[in-house]
Amino acid sequence: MNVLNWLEHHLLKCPYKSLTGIDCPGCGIQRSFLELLKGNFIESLTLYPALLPILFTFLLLILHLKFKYKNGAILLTYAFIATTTIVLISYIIKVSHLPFHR
Amino acid sequence: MENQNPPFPPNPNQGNPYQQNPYQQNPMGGNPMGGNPMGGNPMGMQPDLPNHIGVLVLGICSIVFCICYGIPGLTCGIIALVMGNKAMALYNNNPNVYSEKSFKNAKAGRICGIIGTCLSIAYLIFIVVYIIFVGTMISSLPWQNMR
Repeated sequence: MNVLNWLEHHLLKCPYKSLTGIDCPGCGIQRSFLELLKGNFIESLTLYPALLPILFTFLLLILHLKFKYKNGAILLTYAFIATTTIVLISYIIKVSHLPFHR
Repeated sequence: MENQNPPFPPNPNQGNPYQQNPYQQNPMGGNPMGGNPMGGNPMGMQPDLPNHIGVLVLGICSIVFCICYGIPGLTCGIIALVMGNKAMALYNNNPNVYSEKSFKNAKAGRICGIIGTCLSIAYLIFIVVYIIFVGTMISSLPWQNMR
């Protein structure tokens, strides 16, 4: 709990958001990760839907580098493309919804 | 296999020296002309491509670090792209020397690097256009009339 508290008060500030006021494609990933550490999967998904695919891709990368799967490289490519698509789509939805919320 | 029998003369204790010789000459830099590179070759006999793990890791990192104006993602993506191109050129020159697994890794890393670089460049261009747009708007305001 102490670590979580410390992390919550030491989030990195997005320079792009502080400059323009619009979210960048990576905005929300730290809050989402914190929610994931607390165990709230649904809040994590709503804050940043691409966090779980990103973590999955990295897990796959580490496993592939350690155990050298036969089709690991192709799987990694597909996982990467899927992650990128999710990042892009969620960012477009977030940005296009932003003016209506204000 | 601990005992390293010299390739010449063949050890009479071994059953068939002609099938074992190509595999034992592989670490010395010889091209496995007669040996089958796919089947029966123990792992690590063919050397891996240089930097194939680095290409893969940097290529995948290029999408995550799209923070901070896209500059870290751009750096990772370009490095992965350059190193992947070098590794693939090396493999295409003589495909028999290097292992196929490292080639697959380098290829996957290169694809990821291409995607990450494109996205980072698009993001960077978007930021530059935004700054130019806002700067033009602010500087074209009638500041003289506001006194």
